[in-house]
Amino acid sequence: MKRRSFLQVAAAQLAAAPLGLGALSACTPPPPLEWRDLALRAATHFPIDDLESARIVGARFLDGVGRDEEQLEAELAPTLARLEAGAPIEDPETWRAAIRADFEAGETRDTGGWVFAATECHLAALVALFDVGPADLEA
Amino acid sequence: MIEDARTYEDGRVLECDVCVIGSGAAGVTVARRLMAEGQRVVLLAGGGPERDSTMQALYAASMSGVGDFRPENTRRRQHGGSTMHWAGFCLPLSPEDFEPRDWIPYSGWPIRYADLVPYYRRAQLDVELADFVYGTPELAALRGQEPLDVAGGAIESVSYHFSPPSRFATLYEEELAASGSPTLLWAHLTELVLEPGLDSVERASCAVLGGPTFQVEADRFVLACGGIDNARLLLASNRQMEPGIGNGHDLVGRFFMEHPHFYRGAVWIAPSDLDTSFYRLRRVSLPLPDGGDRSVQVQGALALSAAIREAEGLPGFAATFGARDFDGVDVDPLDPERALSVLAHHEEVGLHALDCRVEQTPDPDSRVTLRGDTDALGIPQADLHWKIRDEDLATLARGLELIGTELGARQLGRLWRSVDADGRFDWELENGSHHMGTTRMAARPEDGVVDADCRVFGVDNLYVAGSSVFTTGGHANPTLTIVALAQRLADHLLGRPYEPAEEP
Repeated sequence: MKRRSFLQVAAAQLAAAPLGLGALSACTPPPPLEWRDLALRAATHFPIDDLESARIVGARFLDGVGRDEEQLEAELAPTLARLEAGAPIEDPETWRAAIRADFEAGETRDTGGWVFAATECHLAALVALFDVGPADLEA
Repeated sequence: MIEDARTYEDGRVLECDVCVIGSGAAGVTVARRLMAEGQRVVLLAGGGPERDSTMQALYAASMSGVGDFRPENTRRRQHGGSTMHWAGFCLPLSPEDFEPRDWIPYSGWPIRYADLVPYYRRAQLDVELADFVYGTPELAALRGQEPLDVAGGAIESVSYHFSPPSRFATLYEEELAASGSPTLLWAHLTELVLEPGLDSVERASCAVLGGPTFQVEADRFVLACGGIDNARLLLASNRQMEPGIGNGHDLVGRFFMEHPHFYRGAVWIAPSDLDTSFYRLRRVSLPLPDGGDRSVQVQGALALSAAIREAEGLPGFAATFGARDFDGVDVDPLDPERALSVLAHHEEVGLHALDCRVEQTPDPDSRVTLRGDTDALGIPQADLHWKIRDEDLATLARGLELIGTELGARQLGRLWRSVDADGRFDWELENGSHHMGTTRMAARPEDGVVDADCRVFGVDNLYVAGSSVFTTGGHANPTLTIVALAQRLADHLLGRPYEPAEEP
């Protein structure tokens, strides 16, 4: 399986959809700054390494979560905790296992029609929240 | 023999053992069996050998409720009936479809799947297929192609067999012509006339459009005119019995069911190295009962498992690869109207459009009644009010979600469904031209129109054949079950014990 395929395909479609989102919409709350490091970690260790696709999918996901900051934090909490945990996140299999576990538990999120695991939406959301790009990772 | 009723003298009376009204899949199947056993049969074909717009107009009906299809365009008023335009999809109902399901109102047939299996075997041959082989492991072995490994999950693999498709008027033309019993073309039932006691049919009053009228007197009558007109003709035969024949409990015409279809906007994005050939149409050599084999087209599909349907209280649901092939599609990827086609530009994944269909659960308010207008024969036209429970429509969205979840859990890809601007599942209802349930089979007259022998409650020599007797419709296309039930009815009419049940 090509690593980039699913998210890239999803992003291409979301970008072309009538509500195409290349950036965050106004209803997304400003993220806590301490999440930025976690977002960079997410971008670094994201199991799918196409950041542009991640931004598009993440933006659509965040648009669905809505305006409430507490609600956003609660939604992202499991993935934030994993990112804060340290070393295991560098193993891509950790994320693949987490995504698989989400599906098995029915922890899915409908993102622009895509049936995604909650974890992959969370990772993409962090990338989108801080608009992480290749330059951020090089820095 | 095949005769042209237009040449009859007005007022003629025909006598026979069994009068079969309608020459589609059900009527021809019953008539062939009876003719082969030496019964004197009159088979009435409500049209000629070709599609004819004047005949089609006799099927005109008004439509309300969900959907906006024209009933006269979803069936054929000609010899061979709707077999003259069907696509050939064959799949038996599942064992669970016959059982009472406490989450589906009015479910539970008075016969079981096992009772019908011997007749499914016969039906397979009637529609030019081979042995009754629908088990996924058996078909996988015969195909040499593996289904998805989804054992124990929310979805399972099933398979359709494809009839060539059999056109019953032409396929069985020689057989019907060689019989000593007449198949009458252009012959329409106008009324079933009851004996004075009102508990049996005395004769079928018939007419040619713009031509002679005639009567058929028979010991027994089989009404086989399709899921709308079986009800319509019983309701319209109301001169002696005000609510219509068999309608003492106001059930004739109720419980109309279709198979809601969803053809656009669901795509499975699969890993490029995943073998999905089991779900594509392939020719397979399948065994015949008496030896030898026959090449049959078979296609796998994804369906909700019995376990998940029971756990979540869902009706049946199945998805097949659609006819659209995304490979090589060249469109502007920035055109939002063609968003789906954007997917075609990513060659590293397999893209499979999914066509979905869902079981419609029985609802007494979904029904056929009579309207004031009459057709050219003077018979009141049908008014079809098609009503679908919200739960059935929700099953389309949930079914796809469950497939998407299962694909993710098994690392088999991702699924996308069309959504509207608010992120809600966005789909357009389409019908399957499958009309079911309007003379439903039940154990008691309070619950249905025909009994387990397909005999109309309260009328001892009148039987109904076709999908109008379906108690529930599953998600499977109905023709194979129509033919199987007709085979079973033929055994009953011949006075033979039913074939022993075959447990799955």
